[in-house]
Amino acid sequence: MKRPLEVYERPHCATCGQLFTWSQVTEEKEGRKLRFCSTNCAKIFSDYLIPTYGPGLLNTLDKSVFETSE
Amino acid sequence: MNKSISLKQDTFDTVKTDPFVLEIIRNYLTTTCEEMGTTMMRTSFSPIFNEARDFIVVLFDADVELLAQVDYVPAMLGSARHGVKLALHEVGIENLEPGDVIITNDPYRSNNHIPEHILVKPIFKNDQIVGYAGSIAHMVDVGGTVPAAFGIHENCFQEGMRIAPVKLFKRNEQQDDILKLILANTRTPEFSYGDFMAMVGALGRGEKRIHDLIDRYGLDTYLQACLDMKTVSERLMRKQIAEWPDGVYAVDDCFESDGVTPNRNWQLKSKVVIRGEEVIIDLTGSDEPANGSMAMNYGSSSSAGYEAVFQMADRDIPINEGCYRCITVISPYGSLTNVNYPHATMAGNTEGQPVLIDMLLRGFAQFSEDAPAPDGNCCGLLALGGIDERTNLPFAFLNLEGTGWGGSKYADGNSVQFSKLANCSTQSIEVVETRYPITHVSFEIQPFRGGAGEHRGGFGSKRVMRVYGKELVASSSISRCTMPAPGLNGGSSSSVNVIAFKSPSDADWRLATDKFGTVAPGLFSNAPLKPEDEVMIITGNGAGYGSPFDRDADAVLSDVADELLSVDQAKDEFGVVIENGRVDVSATAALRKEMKSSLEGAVS
Repeated sequence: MKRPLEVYERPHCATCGQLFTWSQVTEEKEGRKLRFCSTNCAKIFSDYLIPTYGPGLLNTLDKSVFETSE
Repeated sequence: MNKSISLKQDTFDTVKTDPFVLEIIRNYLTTTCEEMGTTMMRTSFSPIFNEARDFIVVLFDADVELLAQVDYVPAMLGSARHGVKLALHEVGIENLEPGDVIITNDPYRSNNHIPEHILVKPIFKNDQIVGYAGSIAHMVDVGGTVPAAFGIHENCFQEGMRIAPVKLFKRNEQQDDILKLILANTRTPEFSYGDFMAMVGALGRGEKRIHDLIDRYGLDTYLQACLDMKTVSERLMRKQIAEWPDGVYAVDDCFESDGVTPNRNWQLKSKVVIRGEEVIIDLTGSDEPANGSMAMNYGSSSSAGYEAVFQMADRDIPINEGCYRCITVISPYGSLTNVNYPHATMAGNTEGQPVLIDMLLRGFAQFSEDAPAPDGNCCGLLALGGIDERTNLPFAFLNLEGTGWGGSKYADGNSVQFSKLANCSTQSIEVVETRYPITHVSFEIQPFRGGAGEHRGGFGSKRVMRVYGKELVASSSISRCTMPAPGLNGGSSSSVNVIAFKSPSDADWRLATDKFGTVAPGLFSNAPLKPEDEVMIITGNGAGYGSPFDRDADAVLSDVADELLSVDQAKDEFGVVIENGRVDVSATAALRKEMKSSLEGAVS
């Protein structure tokens, strides 16, 4: 059996924080490639989270929300 | 998801099902959930199932979207919505066959915490999946360092056996190798086996009822109704949210301790964001994960968000996936509200959720008079374990307790009712004493200790138990022992929760911090007990709503007559003077005037 990824190795949504299932969206925000579980979460990141907390928010996010190619 | 019947997305704008048929099907599905729940209660082994009803049963459509539920434990809504989907995604829809049952309890896969087990069964019709039946339930013992699980842990490995999603049944055949592995890692395998089978039986009932429904109305009508139910609920929920004023309603609070780190509380930040037809519950800025298990995961914190919104929404809106489409819970991964591996979450789910729900309701209270004051924020989680000398086998008992609910604009808070996160019951004394080496010394309503208001908080309870047996240990996940929840609109704060111990050699009750040297009075694991030691749990009064000086004096008198309030408390807390069993109207008016002006002076 191929080694399955443990949960801590899996991506999480940059907005809500949950693990992904079938849906995953990658978008560039503030110059970084972020992963989202839906287009709605990607939208909330742009029109709520960044305006509320500023671009510095990206520095507080867990590494699992960033596209691995970064 | 190529094995599932495709739901037609282009029909979302239009409800096509006859409204009468739609309502019949909706109620049929809800009733099916109730029947599944009854099946679990009637066939399970553990009192936490058949007495306390610590479980939820749900039905999903072919897209794994929530169709129907019943109100057993809303705290598990996050697990139901996210945990089930993650389990099915990981196993693979394409790998499912009729008669399969998936099991998982992984807190990092959006299950609230390790004792809760998700079981989900695909429902097939004509070789295609038309839906899923799900059951999430709390197993009393899951191995780990603490009998009956609830104590304080520093990582997930101490909490118990973590089960990644696997098939417990394949084509209706029990997978003995999986079951053996699970049962070998609990102190009470007989209980757990019976409870697992009760869950499987409930899923079978759900499957049969869906088959019956499709046979009666036809597959096309059923599938269309699945779409239309969600559409209707989404429209109703969006309409509800649009009636709330746009804004950001922030409330900060904390977990008073994590049970491990001395002299530190853990900060929680919450924002209820209303914008148009959507709600954002934003928990950004909360502390890092606690060192002890007073911390939450996504299943748990999202449940708290959903519960708060649903408590404020019109109760006639049928709860299904449509409602959730307008709610986003932001709970950053790697924080106190969504811990990263391998942080523990046992206590944070059950004692953290009530705190978070009430924080969010205090946010809603900034624009709505319908939000109640906080409850006692306590589930009375005392875990007792050891060897039962009647059987010479390990036992694991988990106590659940009601608390006082907060007052509201409309009424006093309920007394001795399970905290908002669940509709659990306390377990019958007779059942507890039959099943476990425990006797009750007393169980009663605890008279007034706080929560004064125009509508006061409900009363908590006081329970004293005596334990017998060998190798006895007590563990506790009880918070708000030092920091009560605040009242609303001039009401007083709730009263703190208490857990204390007394050995035959002790002159008086002693807190765990004193008797066992624990970091926190209510958050600790495996305190050693001796036979005939006693433990006392007092749950808090709910917080008050409105000024206590505006409370109806006759209502104060009634509490005095019921021996729930002393004459002195009536005077000191409510400004009501009682002489010879009657309210002294003129003295009360004068005293209240004086107390109000004194309070206003202090505020200014």
